[in-house]
Amino acid sequence: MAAPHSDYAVAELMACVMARDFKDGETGAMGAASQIPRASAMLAIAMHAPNLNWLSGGSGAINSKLPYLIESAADYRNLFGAECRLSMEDIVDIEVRGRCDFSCYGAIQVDKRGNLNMLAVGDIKRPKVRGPGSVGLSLSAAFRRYYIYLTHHDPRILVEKVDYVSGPGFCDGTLERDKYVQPGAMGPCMCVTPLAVFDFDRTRREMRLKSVHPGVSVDTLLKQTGFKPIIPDKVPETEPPRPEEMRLLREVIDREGVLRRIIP
Amino acid sequence: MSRTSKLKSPEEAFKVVKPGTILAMNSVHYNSLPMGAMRQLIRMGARDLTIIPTPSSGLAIDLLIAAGCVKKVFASYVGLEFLGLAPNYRRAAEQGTVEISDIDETSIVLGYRAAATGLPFALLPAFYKLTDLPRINPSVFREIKDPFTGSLCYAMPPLKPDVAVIHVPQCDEFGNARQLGGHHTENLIAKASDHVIITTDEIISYEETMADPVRTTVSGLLVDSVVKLPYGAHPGGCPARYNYDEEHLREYARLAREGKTGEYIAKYITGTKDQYEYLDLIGASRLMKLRIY
Repeated sequence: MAAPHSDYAVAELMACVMARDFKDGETGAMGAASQIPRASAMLAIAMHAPNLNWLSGGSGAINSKLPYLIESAADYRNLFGAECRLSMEDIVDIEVRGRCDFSCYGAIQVDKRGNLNMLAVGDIKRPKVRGPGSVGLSLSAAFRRYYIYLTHHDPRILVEKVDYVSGPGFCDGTLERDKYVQPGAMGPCMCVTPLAVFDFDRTRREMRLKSVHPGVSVDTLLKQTGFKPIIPDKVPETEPPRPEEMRLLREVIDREGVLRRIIP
Repeated sequence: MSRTSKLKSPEEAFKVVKPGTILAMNSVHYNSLPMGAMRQLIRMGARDLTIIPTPSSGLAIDLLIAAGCVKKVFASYVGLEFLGLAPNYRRAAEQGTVEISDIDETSIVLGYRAAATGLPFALLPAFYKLTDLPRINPSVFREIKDPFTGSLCYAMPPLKPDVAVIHVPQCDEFGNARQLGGHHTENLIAKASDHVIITTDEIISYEETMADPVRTTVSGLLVDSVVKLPYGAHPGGCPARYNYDEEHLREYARLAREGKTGEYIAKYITGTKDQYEYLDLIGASRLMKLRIY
């Protein structure tokens, strides 16, 4: 974990990192327990992307205006101020067809090629850890790009190769993957953790360290990572939340401090 | 001759659930869960069930597993969402005491859709080849060739439940049901299933249905039984009626993690004879605090 910072919580920093990357006019899909990415979506809309559309998968709410972060994505209250309630079938149609620019995923294992596992750790017939299941992760092959966000940075989570693939990233790194994804699905674009931000080298199809959060050294980061990411010559610090981002997070988007509780 | 009401007692309605029944239910996170129905099934000693849930599910399945009712689960997501993994499901999977057929959100929806339309199989996109689902679950995911282009895709059998249990805030005595919040494939499940039981917080009059038919979200023509279960989603929430009971859910999750779900079941389910005794145990002040209006 990055050293506790007096001015912001790590989850707030993570929300800012993703928000800055969401572009005006895009459509994003959010799944269960997605307080960090939905804070990112609301922040992006307020800062620079007034035409960003976002779906709250579980409730079917399109462009919810609920003025606080809620624990359950399926919660009826997500419909507050939304402009449409789509059914879960509609959401699946929209996502599989490839209409979403991005989604944000967590997983029980993530590897250096951005593959995601939610099935099991160990042999799935007698697993060491049985995960909840693949849910919407195969749609990583349908979204134009996807973000990975993790609330723990741990070598058991960030592994060389996932035990099972629920959500395909760059698979084995060969071009074979491109034959089977939905047209336009570019794969993983970013991985944000409590310690660092990674992007992906699109030629080598591997994760690359982009920045470490203030107070985190590259050495510490590598000790906590189960694979060796590509490390550029210079690794900058992640830009901390700007004053206006913090004002929006604390006074408008997350007044109840949910992010501060998730990762202080 | 007058029209026959579909209103039944829980005992009468749930008689159709037999050992080996393939049971479906709306069970997305804590939203409109048919928990009153699950409690009734446990009291009636349901066993050897095969469960086909909604794309996300958790509490209902975790509880049925702890009560020994489940043989097999078609799993897309079985977890307690913001309360973490589903402990009884996880233990059963890790010890191999429940059979798991791994599917996912897209395949659950398209599998139900195939059954709803009466198609021989559902068609899935090629990207499943990049996942491990076909490898670990070949009984569901089969490679086929698109007869028009020759490209690869997948076929899966229809998901066709024997019995569906769906909880809604309002329903009339002929089974015309209103879901007031998100739509979590309830209508699709009703169309896919052979027998449909609606449990409802409130029975509305047929006149009310006729006055505003566009609000009916599951047509009574698909429904076999209607069971009145006030607060039937508790400890989940019911859209536009009451929120989920976070304190109770945390108690469940804690006991489940500690391997003490049996105590929970003895206190809240087998220790109460019906939904009304269960509500007495929860208490009026607690229930009133959950009300949305």
